[in-house]
Amino acid sequence: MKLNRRAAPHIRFPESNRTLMSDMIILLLVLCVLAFLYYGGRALIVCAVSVVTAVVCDALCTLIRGRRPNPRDLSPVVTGLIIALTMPATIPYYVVASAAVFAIAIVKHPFGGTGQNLFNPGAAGFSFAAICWPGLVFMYPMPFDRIPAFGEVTAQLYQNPAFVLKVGGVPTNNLTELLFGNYPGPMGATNILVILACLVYLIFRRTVRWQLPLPFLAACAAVTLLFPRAGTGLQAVFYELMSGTLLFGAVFVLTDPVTSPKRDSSMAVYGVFAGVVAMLFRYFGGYEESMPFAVLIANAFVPLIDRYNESLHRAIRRKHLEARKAKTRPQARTLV
Amino acid sequence: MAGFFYKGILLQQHKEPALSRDLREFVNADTIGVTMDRPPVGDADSLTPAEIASLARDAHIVDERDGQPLADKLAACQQTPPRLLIADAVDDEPYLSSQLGPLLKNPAHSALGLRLAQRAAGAAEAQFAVYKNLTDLDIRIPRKIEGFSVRRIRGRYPAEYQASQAFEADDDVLLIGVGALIQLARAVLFNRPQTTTFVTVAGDCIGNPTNLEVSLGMTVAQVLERCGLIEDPARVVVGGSMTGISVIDTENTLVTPSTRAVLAFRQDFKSLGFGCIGCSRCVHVCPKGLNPFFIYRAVQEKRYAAFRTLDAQMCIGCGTCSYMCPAKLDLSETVQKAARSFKPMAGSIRTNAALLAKKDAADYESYLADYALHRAQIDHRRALAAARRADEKRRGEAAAAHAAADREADRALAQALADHRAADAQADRALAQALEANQAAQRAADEALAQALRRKQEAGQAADGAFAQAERQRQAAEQAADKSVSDAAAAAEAADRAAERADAAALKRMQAEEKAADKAFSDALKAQQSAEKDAAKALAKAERNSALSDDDRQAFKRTLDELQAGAERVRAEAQAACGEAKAAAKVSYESELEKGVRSRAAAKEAAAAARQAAEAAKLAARETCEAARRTCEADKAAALTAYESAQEACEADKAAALKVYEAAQEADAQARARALEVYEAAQREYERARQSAKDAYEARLEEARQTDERARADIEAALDRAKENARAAADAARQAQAAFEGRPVTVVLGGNDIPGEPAPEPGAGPITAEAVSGAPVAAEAVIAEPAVAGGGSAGIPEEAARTVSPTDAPGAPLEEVELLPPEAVAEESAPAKEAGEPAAALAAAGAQKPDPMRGWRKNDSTEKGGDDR
Repeated sequence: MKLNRRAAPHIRFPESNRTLMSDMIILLLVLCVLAFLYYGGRALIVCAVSVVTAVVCDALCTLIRGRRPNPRDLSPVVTGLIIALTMPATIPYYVVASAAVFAIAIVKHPFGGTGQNLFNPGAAGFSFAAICWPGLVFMYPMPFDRIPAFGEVTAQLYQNPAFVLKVGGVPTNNLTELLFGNYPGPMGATNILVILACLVYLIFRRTVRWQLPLPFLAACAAVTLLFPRAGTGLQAVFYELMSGTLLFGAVFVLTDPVTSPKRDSSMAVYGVFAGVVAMLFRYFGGYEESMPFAVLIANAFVPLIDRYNESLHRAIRRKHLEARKAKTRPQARTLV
Repeated sequence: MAGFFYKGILLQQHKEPALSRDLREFVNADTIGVTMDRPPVGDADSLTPAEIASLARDAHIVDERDGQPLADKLAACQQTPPRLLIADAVDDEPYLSSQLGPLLKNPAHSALGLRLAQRAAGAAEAQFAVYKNLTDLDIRIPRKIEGFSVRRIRGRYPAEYQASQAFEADDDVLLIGVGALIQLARAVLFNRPQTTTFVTVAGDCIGNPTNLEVSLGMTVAQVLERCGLIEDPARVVVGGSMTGISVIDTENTLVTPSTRAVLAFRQDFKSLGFGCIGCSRCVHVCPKGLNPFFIYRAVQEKRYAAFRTLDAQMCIGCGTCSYMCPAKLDLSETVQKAARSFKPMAGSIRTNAALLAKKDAADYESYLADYALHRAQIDHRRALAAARRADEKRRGEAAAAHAAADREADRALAQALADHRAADAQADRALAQALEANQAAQRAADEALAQALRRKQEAGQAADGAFAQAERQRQAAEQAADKSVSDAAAAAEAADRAAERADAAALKRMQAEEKAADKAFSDALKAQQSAEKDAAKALAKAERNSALSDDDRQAFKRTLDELQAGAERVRAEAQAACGEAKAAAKVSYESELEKGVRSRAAAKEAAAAARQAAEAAKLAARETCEAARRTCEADKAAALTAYESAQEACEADKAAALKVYEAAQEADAQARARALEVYEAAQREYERARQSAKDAYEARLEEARQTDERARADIEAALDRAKENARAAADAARQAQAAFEGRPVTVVLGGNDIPGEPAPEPGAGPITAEAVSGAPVAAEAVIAEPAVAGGGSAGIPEEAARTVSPTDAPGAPLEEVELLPPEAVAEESAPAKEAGEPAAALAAAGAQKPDPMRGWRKNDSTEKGGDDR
């Protein structure tokens, strides 16, 4: 009988990092499938290029840092899928690959690798691509166009409704189109209904806490409601929330456990802050896309938010303790 | 409300099938008939609270939920009776039903025990408490058991803790485990002490999971055998599934009154190599509202200062964070261990920093002292060699000094001899000089005499010369006087002649003047007659000139008359002037005459005076000559006298010189004698110097020997000092380490400080099985809980000890392999037949180490299984 000594507790929750990441990956793969249906095989190749680049780069960086790559670590897959799904299907492969390399080698590993990075690698990779190749990143093909997998892309390219909002117009897409993603846009970010389903799934799986994405969306909606750009009231809210990668980011990017705050209250603060920043980017920024930049900026404030939130919680704990002491002092006897 | 604000986790309870099966017994045959040493109780309802407490004490009943003696808990309530007594059957940990099972199978005994405890504690109310979230039970929990209500505790996993909190906040409440109440009832009914305890045996390797009543002191292996293992387990856990300890030596782990479960699991945790991804699940489930994520990171980064703001000491060790962690990190273990190690910091970070600094300083000092010892050893070696060299050098120096002193003495003697000879020569030279001086003095005296003679002769000649000169002068003076007399006579004659010539001249001049006056008168008379004839011719002419008127004639006549009258007057005047000039010439002649007379008289007087002067000069010259003659004579006499005196002086000098020579001769003799004396003294000195040099040489040798001895003693003392310093510094470092690591560590390690125990090899570090096997001490794995330790005082066989060696448990930190001293082993592993012993030991242990967390943590222990990283 060979026994081992382990620390308590001796039963463990069955979920692991792998489970968390695979939850995300499953949902992102669903979006990949939808992208395949809309844009053909090129979408899958873009995703594969991004994922393979991210995984290889992650392994290399881990080796360079003197660690052994962990094959169970699925976080580079998530990063690669997020980068791929926020791009148009016609994006050249090198753009995706360089975005993935930037995300892994510049944003993730210099901070210490998985679990240590301050900024979201996916958002950073997309921002990198958007800044370097804005003409390629922000022009989208129409769904169901045939796009050749290799060689020159000849398809007609269109602007996203977000661009229409940016230039001050009102999108002509109707609600059904928007909900089903049947309009030019990023590969994975147009299927609003599917993304909402993903959000619900993640929240009920407890992989994502509702305290993070919902305040974000609520803040975006509130800003839009107060200062509508297109149309009035709910219409403006719908357009704002459904255009671009806002919802996709709220579900998949903002909820990255590594870069988000650790408590519910700080998560809500973080979400609201990121939402307001995202809307400010939309209103005043140079690009029609705002989510990745807002997430990056909010990420920088996460340690601050956490710190003050922790002080707040400490004060609350102290108050509780004092209250209970004051209550039990008359008896002056230990209970147990 | 209790539980709504609390977080926590929902756990699958796995209480079936153990809970619904019968309560089985697994008792030691020796303990079956054991009774207490007191008369049996007749009527259970007539017992007083004090009697119940003493009964509990005699029965050695231990409350299984916190390991305290029941009697103590009851006695503590005597002063302030609680309002509510809770019989605790809240088995909130999965697999665990060792309280709920006996309660359901033994309701009568449980109720009797609760009634007795209620009376003993003086509680107004009594209840049973069970866990509400039991969904997979095959049996129903009744609402009331023997008249006592059954309270359902709701909430998530650390429900017992939450219930405690809720009760505590609610009111003052006493909680007693159901197992202890059943034991109390048995003690009252059957007069039996506590020899058994209720244990849940479960897990996926157990063939026959059940609640078992096990005799105290059974080994875990026996218990597992009793229930049957369907396959080899990878982990065996004593205690709850959430807070228990995993054991690896089941043969030597005993069942104690606070053992609640023995679980055997098939699966082993494998390290998946995940790092924290910051999913914050631990934060969201922590029932204390702490932030295990931050605390864990603070531990990893050794930022213990953050413990204070993060309230790490509030951790209750429930393990929910570890349970939930998707990266399978041992959060709870790490956090609690760190919090325990840094408990001093909870009060004061500065204190801890000071202790840490002190420890570091002590370590540094110890290192320095070790290094100093090393250096001292080297120095010791070198200093010994140096001392040897110095000794040799001193001896050589002494010999050299001795030789030098000898040489010096020789040299001094030679010098003395030379001096002696030199003194002799000097004396000779002085004598010769004296002789020479004598001769010279005599020659000088002779010369002086001759010179005196010469001087005398010269003086005589000089005196004669002077006299002759004076004579010559006298004669010259007389001649001069004569000459002046004759001159004076001649002068008088000349004056006579001159006076006569002057008289004659004056007579001639008077006659000349009288003739001149007569001539002037005759001139004037002739001038008048010529003027009268001119006037008579002018008248006759004027009268012949008839042309002229009478008036002109008259005027002519009157002019002529007047001219006649004037001529008359001039003649009269010339006559008068002639008379006057004659008178004046006569007067001057007479005065001249008188003057001549006077000059002749004066000349005569002058001649007389000259004669007198010549006479006087002659007299004076004569006197002078006389004086010169006298002087000449006196000088001659003086020269004679001087010569005589020179003769005398010559004699005296000669005598003096002779005397000096004699004195020199005498001095010469004295000097020779003195030089001889000095030489002899130098010889004596030489002997003495030789002797003293020898003495000094011997003294220096002695001194060198002593110095060498002293130096060697100093060197040895320095080495000893360095050794002492090193030892002291090492002790200080150990103390600082102990102080820094805090009280929990010192309590555990305290056994090593018992005097008389063979100290472990210094510096050996963690004690390995090989080091232990020879010594009569028991190496115990994991188990620091005294009541769990055991295996008999005879010591552990070598095989058993070796099972804990680091090679067998590579992942386990070595510090958890502990040494228990023989006393402690003997005390704590007393045979189970004396059923009270473990309880007493437990009480002692409880008194030794008050732990605020002990209350709620079941199977609490000082040291848990270490984490696997």
